[in-house]
Amino acid sequence: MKKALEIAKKLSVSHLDIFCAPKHFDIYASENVLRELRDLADSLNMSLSLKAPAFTQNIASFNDYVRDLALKQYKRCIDLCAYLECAFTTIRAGIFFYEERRKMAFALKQLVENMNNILLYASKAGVNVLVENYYLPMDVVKRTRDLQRFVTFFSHFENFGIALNMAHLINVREKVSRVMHDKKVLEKIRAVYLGPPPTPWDTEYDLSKMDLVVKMTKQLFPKLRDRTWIVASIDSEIAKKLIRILREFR
Amino acid sequence: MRPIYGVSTAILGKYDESIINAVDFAGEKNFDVLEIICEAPEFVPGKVPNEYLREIRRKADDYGLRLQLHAPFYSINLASLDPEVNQMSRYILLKTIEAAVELEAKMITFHLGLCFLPCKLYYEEAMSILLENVMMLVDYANEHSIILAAENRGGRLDIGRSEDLLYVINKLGKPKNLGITFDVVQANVVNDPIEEYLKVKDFVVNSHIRDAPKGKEALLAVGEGEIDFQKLVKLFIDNNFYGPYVFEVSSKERALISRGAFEEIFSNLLLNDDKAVS
Repeated sequence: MKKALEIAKKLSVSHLDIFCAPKHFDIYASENVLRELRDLADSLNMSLSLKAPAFTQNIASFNDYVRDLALKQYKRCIDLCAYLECAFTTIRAGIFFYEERRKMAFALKQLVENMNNILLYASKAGVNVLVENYYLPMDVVKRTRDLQRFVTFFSHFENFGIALNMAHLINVREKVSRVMHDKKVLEKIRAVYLGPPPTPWDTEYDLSKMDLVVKMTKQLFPKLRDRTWIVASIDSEIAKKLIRILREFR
Repeated sequence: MRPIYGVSTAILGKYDESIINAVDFAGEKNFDVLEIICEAPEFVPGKVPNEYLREIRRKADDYGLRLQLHAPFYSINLASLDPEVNQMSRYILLKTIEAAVELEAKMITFHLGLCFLPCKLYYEEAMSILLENVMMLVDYANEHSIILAAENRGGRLDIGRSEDLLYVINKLGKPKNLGITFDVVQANVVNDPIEEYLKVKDFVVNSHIRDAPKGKEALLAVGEGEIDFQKLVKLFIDNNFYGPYVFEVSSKERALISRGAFEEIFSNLLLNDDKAVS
């Protein structure tokens, strides 16, 4: 993490989003490690946020083991966020697999309860929780209409927000204009992930769609200028290019 | 040798249908095997009441139906670098073995795991975790005379290509109770299923039979898609693999249609053999 902060500083960015996935970052890191991280971020004048584990984690699962573990890890991220004085933590809303789809009403009810539980927990800790749109067919939050539904369900929580992932939006063939024309959704967007499709959270990118990423960013940026824009890619050249583009827009 | 025909609980389409319905269907329609997909909310290994397990077994016994299990797979990852996900995955698989013991099921199909971003960056470490987990499960299953069958998978993130399965089996020294469930459509997603079968044929102990358009994933009945089952069944016979042929299709009707199609292919092949002899 120390190296990541140093690289971030060299790139002259002011925020670091930490992807909580081993071996990259251990959510059970010792207090010493966490304190060191917090102090270093402080000394570099860098704000932090956490992207909670989001590969197999599924708070919408009917499987108790899977759901309970996801809840436990999300709550741990909220605790860490409070300790590290993070701006927010980002979570995946969940995935409805075959059985959850067969019993959709029950699945949705359970998901809402779990989201309430997380938001309440985070609220007590003074932490903002952002829901990120994903891109798989089974994901609960993929399109603008899913974001609208979540805003309806949870906008009474002040600490609820949206982390808009542009690559995921492209992957589900959603036009950015749909987001731009929904005031309530726009208001709740607190961060934007900017990276290559189909997802920045992988190693294989479809670079033919990078022009579309840039075009959509150009459309959206004026409306969300004051939000946290997070460049996400494991390819440093892509990351540098996207940072450059963002600076041009500014 | 007589073919062994099975059906998967994937046939349960309606909201209120349970595993017991699938047992009744498989029994009444004279299938030899029922493969139970261990999925929530009805069948989470370790959470299923023993009484329910006994009821399933008793019903299956009444029909002379053999049971086998398909371990949970959503969010299960035996190759995870996340210690908690890893521990949970192992635990659920162990509980699946225990459920199999209760049900007197002798075969469990399972997925090796998934390779997300951390696994792609630290592939060797993920594979080493996977090998350790599978070995532990194989040992535990062996104590209960249960065969574990790793399924071939075609998803972008799946660890389940034919080469992955062979790697794991060979690395673990070809344990006698570790085999392969050959899923025809998962093979179809990555390549020609015939070619994929030929790669893994020496280790196939179970199969998932369904059809799909070329290169696609679906739960169609045999004959509804584009897979060349004539050729495939011929290869099964040539390799002395007579099943279980578990029809993993989306409805009861499709299971019956698929079995009918297989019976016809078998009788045609046997007829051709007779002609060749005479």
